[in-house]
Amino acid sequence: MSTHPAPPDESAWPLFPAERTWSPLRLAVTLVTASAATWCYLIGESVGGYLGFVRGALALSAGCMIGMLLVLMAAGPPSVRFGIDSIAGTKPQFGSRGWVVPAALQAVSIIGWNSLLIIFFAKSAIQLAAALGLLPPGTGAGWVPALTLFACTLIFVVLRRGATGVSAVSNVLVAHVFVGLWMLYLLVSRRWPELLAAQAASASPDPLWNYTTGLELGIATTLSWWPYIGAMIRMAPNGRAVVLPVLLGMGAPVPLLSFIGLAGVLVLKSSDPSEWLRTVGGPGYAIVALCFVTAANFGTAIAGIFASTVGLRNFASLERRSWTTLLVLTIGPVALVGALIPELFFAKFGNFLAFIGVAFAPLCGIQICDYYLLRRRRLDLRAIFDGSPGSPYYFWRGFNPAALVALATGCAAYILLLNPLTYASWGPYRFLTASLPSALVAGLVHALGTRLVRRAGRGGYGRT
Amino acid sequence: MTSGGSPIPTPRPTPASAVADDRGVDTSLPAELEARIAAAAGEDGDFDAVSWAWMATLGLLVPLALVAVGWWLGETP
Repeated sequence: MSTHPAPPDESAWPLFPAERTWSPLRLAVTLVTASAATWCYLIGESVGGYLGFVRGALALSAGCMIGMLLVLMAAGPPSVRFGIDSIAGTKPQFGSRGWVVPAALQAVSIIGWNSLLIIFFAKSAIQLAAALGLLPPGTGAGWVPALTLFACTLIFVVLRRGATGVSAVSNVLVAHVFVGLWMLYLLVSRRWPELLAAQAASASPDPLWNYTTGLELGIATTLSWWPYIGAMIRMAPNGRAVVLPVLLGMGAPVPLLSFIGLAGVLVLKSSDPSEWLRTVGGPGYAIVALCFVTAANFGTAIAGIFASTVGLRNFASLERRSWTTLLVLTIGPVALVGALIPELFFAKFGNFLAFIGVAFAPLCGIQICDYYLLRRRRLDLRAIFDGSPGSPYYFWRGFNPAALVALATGCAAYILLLNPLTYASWGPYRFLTASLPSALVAGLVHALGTRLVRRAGRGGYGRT
Repeated sequence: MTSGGSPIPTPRPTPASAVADDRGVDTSLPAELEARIAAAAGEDGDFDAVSWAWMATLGLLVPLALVAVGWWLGETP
């Protein structure tokens, strides 16, 4: 094991209590900025396919709040207690080597999503330039790679300052959330009767299925915050300073801004505010919308890449590397995708990300079951950082088969209940959603498997 | 760099103390990490009663109420 090479907020080691200085407000601002991005109106568009405005808004809000609770209960305790990130917190469940599985989920999810957001950023900037008369309309496609590289460079510069950079940028970019709420007000106030009368285009004949799908979209959306949350809440001093910023700062903006997409797709058949604001208020409003989209995606990408870079510190081989090197390793794939294959990635990678997303519900189920039921809230912090064969979290060759089988079973249960690509579902889905039962199944399988692990004297169950 | 511009200095690297398990495998951790573990391990609590009350309200009661209201409202005409 190496000596400590990095400033505390850029390492995966526990933070000293005195280093955890973020106030609830500062954490909330950072989380709000991180959560509000282009995906909000894509989520709204998805819900608007099945539900009208009022029902869709209520189902989506409820789902987001439930999902946020699951994420906080799963990833929160180790980060809140010890000041460690989400990935280090999975070692008691997955093992001193098995944590690479959630780490891979985190990396693929964050890098994948942020590649999409950065490409969105570039496309929005081109549209903005065209709207301002800086580029002839329809001629900017060739600028996508250059703008992607520009955005990656900006992110790199901001993140050289670690968590401080994330917080500082969030303090500025949080303004876009208010712009988003203004856009929502504009649409709702001018088109309320149409909004109430609008019918969902792809609604199933089964109202319960439609309603459950609105709920499921909210739950699944906020479960995907699992990779982001630990790196930021570890900066706050205790659980009480974390709860409201997470539940309101991360759980509320997503549904609120998703209403933009929901309202847009129902009334104007477009979830993209830069398109429908032109219809509602003319080119000036479209420019405001494009600024909103550009700023939103930039803020989220910064938070995501920060979380992913901290996660890399858990690899022993990267522990001694400079923060700059880790940033290059994290931003590099995003830059390459944006520069070389932006259109191909846009067309194909969303499907892969949909499948990656199904893993976060089982992951939360495993963590909640392990921490609250099996370990009775007792964790061995030293064992989290001790990868030697005698360590309690070494299990078998560093992997805990119980957690791995539980994760696979939970994912299979999700896909059985709801295919995330086709939305083909199986009976119980309409009553249960897919995320909640898959989390439950994964937790149960983990609990059963842990009986064998405990019998073998592995895993440190029953110890502090 | 410390977070938030706090005045806490970056700890200097210190040598690890030799520790071995019962198989003789070196399980030593860097002294700086040991110090951080010792400091953090004293933090017993995750969420206090007030935090749980907020979690139950905002993560369970309010969403259930929203679900019920949404269902009760029925399909938009």
